[in-house]
Amino acid sequence: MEPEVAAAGGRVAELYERHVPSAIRLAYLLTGDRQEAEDLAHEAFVRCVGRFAHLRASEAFHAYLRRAVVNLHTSGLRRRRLEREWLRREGPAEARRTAAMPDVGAREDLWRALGLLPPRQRAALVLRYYEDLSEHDAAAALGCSAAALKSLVARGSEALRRELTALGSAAPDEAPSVRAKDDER
Amino acid sequence: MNDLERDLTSLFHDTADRLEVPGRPPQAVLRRGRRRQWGTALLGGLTVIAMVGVALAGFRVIVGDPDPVPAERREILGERTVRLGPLALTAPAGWTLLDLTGLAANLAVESCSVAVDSDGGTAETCDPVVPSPGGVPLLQLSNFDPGPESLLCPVGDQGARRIIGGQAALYVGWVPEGVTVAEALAATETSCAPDAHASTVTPLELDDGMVVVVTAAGAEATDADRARLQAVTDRLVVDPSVSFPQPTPGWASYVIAAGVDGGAAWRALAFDFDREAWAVSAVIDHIDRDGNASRSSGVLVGGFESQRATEMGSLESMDLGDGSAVIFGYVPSGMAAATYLAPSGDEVEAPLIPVPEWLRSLDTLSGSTDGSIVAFVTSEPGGEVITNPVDGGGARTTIAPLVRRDIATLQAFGVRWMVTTTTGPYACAAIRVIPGQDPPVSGGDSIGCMNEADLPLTFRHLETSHGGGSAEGFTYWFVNGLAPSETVAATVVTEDGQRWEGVVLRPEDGWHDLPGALYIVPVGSGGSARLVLRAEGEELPYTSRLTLGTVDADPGVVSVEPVTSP
Repeated sequence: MEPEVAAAGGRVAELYERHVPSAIRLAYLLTGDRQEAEDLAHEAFVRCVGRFAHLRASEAFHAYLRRAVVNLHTSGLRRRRLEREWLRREGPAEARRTAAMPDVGAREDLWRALGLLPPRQRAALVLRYYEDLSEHDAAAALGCSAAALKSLVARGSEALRRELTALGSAAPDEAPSVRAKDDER
Repeated sequence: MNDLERDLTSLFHDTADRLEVPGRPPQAVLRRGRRRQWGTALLGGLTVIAMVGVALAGFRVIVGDPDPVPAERREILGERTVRLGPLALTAPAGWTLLDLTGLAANLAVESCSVAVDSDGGTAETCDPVVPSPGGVPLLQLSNFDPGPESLLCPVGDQGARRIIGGQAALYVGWVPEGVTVAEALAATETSCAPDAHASTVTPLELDDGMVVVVTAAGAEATDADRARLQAVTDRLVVDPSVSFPQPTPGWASYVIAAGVDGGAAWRALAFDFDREAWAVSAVIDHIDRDGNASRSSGVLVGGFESQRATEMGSLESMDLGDGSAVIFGYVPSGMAAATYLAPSGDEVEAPLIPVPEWLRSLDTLSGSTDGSIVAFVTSEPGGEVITNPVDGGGARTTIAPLVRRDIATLQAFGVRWMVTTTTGPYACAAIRVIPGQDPPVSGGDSIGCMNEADLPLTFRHLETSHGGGSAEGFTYWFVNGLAPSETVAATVVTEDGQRWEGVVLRPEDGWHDLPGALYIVPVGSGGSARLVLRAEGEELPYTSRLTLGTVDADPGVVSVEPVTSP
């Protein structure tokens, strides 16, 4: 029986190897927690693989998986909003650090400030500056309009600057953005 | 890019790169994934495994008795003709029509086993099985909304739906070759539509099996509805010489609109996606004149937190091959009307079809799904849709048509392939075996590609599209995508140092009008690899990570020829 199982799982395993590592990285940037990131990416993968495994367009599966990760993240955190509020009051830095978190060195304050952002603002920043998505595609992944995405990025950036100032780090200067030109294309 | 954006980009990439992630799937995830797939992972000619009992765990037994749909719905859902391979069914206006082919793909029609001998070799044997008493479910028609998973015939360990009161329904299934008519009738008559006041079973033979049609009516069904069932059966068209296309695994869907236009069959579907944020969606299944099926990327249905009820919804267009197109999508509940303004200036009122009740009742995370689905055919794509909110004002949305064009034939793996470009956000090309070759090759595949041409270069990780499949006798992989137009060469370098050269089709050379250079690299070995793109005299600054599946064929000499003169 085992060979049958292996054959049936071949496609699933292949999809996993191709898509899930990047989904875990994305989830980690959204959650800041290694275990939660794996759980989230695995849950998103299981949900997508049952429905979209047939998609041969690699980017289509990837896009669905990315969207599932983001949605699970924002919805999950929505359910835990009260808990997060408590953590925010009681000790945000400690609460968001995990043993598995990579050493981010001098940028720890920025990482810590990211952890204080509302989930959708953080997701908007990750989608724009890690996934390198256009505003349109990031908005689609987050399930909002491009205008809303732009607002989330702006508010998230502003909150980061405020938080970095409060944490004693020099907030990065705001320089004229060239990214806006990218989005106009 | 300002300092904060730069810092964030750098932080994200450094952090993600340092994170060690499992390359192999945990067994628990594999098991859950397989369960979600309802049994059979279909990939080319890979083993089909019978897992019907487990696979159908998702079916629900629904034996409720909803009233037939209100009269106004009958006026909104128009007559729909669905063509599935040899079968063409015309549903009367107002009746709920379910497309069950997505479920059919998850039902195995043969049971295979793989034996491993002492030398490590394998041998596969397969036997046909009857997946359920009513065969493989294809379509179900009813004068009420039963929900998409409540079927007249039992499937797996789930019971059949009772047809009672004023209800009337019709079910169509496919019984594979090897089952006699008597066997099919006996199984169907005793199991389908239990407790119906009146029911019939009609077998229609094909060259490779048969179609079984089951009709059922409750004791209080009207004469008019009974007559409609009879009329649908009488109008059913079956061409015995045509085979059913291999279904795409998916879900049961409501057929919102359907037709045969421009020689192509299409249907607009609405379905539940996992009761999650994008729980309802609409797609067009498109079968062109050559029988090649394709599926649009889908339009999200349902409002989001940030979306007001009167904001414009999501609309797309899918080319039908003769210059006409299906325009489809979703508009929120606050929209009173939608008008299609063709490029010629002609205006057509677009039908607003309410999202089916069962889907509207879903508890979605991200908002309401109580709007309407738009689906209509136009001979003049590329126009605008003007929506008129109930609270006044109006909005215009230009509908960019998805246009497919065969641009080149590709020689690789000893086989000729067709390269077809498609405009739109999630597709730029497909590669498909050209049928009718000598020696004959069946199967083939369609591989979309990643459009990377329009992304900023900074911190750019090239997430290529790479897809493989199985044609008759060999498995293959392509790495393809859309790169900046200065790209002149594409090479895949595998872990063991092998280099696989591809072809690059540039818009400047007249191959296509996509916004970048289309690269296609047939790869002759699997495992880890990276893609190298080159412009004149320099390697382009991309990084890429590829994990390729098993390949057992050498691409050989790779060449490409235009379908039309460049």
